[in-house]
Amino acid sequence: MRTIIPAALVLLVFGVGFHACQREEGVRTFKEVRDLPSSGVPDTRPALPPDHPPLPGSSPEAAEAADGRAALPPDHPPIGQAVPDGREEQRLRSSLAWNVPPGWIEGRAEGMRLGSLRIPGGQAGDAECSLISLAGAAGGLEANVTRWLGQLGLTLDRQALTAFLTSKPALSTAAGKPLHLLDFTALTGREARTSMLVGVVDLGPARLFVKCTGQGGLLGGQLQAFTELCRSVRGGEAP
Amino acid sequence: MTIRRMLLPLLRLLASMHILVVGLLVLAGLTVWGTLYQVDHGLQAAQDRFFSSWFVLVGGVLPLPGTKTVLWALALNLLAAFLVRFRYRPSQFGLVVTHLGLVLYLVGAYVTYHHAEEGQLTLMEGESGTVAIAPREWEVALWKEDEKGSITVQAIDFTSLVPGKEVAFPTFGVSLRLHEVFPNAALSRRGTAKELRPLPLTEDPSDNRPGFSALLEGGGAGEQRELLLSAEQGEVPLGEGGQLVAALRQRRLPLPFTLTLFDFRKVEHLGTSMARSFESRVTVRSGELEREVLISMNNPLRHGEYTLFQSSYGAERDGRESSTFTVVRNRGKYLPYLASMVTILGLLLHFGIMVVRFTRRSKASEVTP
Repeated sequence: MRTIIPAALVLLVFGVGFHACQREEGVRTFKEVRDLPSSGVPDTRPALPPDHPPLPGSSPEAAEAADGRAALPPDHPPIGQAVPDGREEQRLRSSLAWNVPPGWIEGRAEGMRLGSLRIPGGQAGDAECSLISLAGAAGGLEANVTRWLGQLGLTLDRQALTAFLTSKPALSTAAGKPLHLLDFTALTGREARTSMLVGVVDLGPARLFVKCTGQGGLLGGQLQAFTELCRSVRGGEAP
Repeated sequence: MTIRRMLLPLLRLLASMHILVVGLLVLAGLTVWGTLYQVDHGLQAAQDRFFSSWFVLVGGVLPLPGTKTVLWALALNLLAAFLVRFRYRPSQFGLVVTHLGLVLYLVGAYVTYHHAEEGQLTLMEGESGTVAIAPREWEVALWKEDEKGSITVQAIDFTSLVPGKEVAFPTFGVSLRLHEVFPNAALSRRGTAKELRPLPLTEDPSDNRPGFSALLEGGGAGEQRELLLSAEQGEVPLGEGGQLVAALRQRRLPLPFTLTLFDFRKVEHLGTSMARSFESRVTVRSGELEREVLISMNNPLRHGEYTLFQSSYGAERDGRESSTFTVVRNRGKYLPYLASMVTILGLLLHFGIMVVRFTRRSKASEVTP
């Protein structure tokens, strides 16, 4: 009896500990907040000189995000990127042209956008397309693909990512520039609310990013037109 | 009586001091080996091989007991000691309390291993977050977003899904009757039809992509329909209007507070790019209360059951920095503190009793000729 009581006490400690600290089972309910605004905390980075434009990032999205905040002065090279020469960049941008697919609506090209297109989608909502050029490798294809996957809420392991990157057909534009075409609807499925088509044209000194975002089914149905758009890109040759 | 006779030798064997000594030595060896292994192979690999395993294969052939085996052996040894070795006399009271403290340590280890939740939260400077992501676990989540951008989520762990089970999401009036559940599967399409093909489990659990098929009821469509969901897909709208969305995604760990990163600093050793320290200045907002905290490598943020460790960082080319925190929710996090207090109390009691006994004996020997 004298040994049973302490042993029972030990078992009780085990039991209460396990039970009280168990993880919740079943369906959990909680709140998430999307796009939390930056709080009013001070920016501790060194202040830019007055009238200095904001610094765009290395990615097409970061460059686009700088739109509307402040445009770079004419002939100003993009900041934070390895640009061979400001005038060369300007020439490269102004010499680029492409064919807008039938039924697509052309919008205003502002800021870092060289072109802006809309694919009417009816009840599914329109898909938005942007054309942006960035100097150099712009972070590399794999890094950009990984980020786009993250934007779609997708994660691929190393093997699947390599398979996705190598499964794309070897294409080139009508002008003979290498073209990487990335069909994210193959990953998200056509029923996905948000999917992407991305074309990356290697212009030599720069990359042109053609990116359409919209409902999976809408984009899947416009894949052929999107491919033609990317293939029609011309100009952008270095002098 | 017969049972007692049969059990007694077994309990005496289990309560052996040899098991205790060998167990403690093996535990020390595993700790040193696992720590050194971590340097080249990373924390996760070391955890899997040494600290979460029953056996450790040496040279791929020779099995040695892993930490799990050793801790269970020590727990049984301790339990058996309570039954057959300890003498329950007042003079031994301190020792019994000390060993109760050791029991609490083992309970704490069990609770942490089986019930603690862990995730990662990455914030750019200026960003705020309320949810961490567990990269090696999966959940089936349904959610709806309101006009203010607030999203109500109902989620169930993928490990809770079994074929034939019905899972209800009462907030959205939706239920799933599960048909097939695969911990790793490939999604293939034939025209508009989709199917899941089961795959063998991968060596690294984070490479598995689970999937399931189920009969969906409710969700605005007003009728039953087949739902096939895979971790290879993104979010899938359910019902009409696309307001209710489902996804098989990495498990979310909601935080009871909002964390805002407003500065990350990496200090390097002079003349090298080797990091000397990382630190993140954050604010923690919980209800109306807000406090500023500095999280650094050995200085985590503790908030209720949650602990946030500085674990990684990143930098964009425009100079913006991001900081990654490992978030651990451990309902048993106070058990080691309690165990330490009970153990110390037991030792103090034991030494106190010993001192009293020694003093009494000394006095007795003084009066005796």
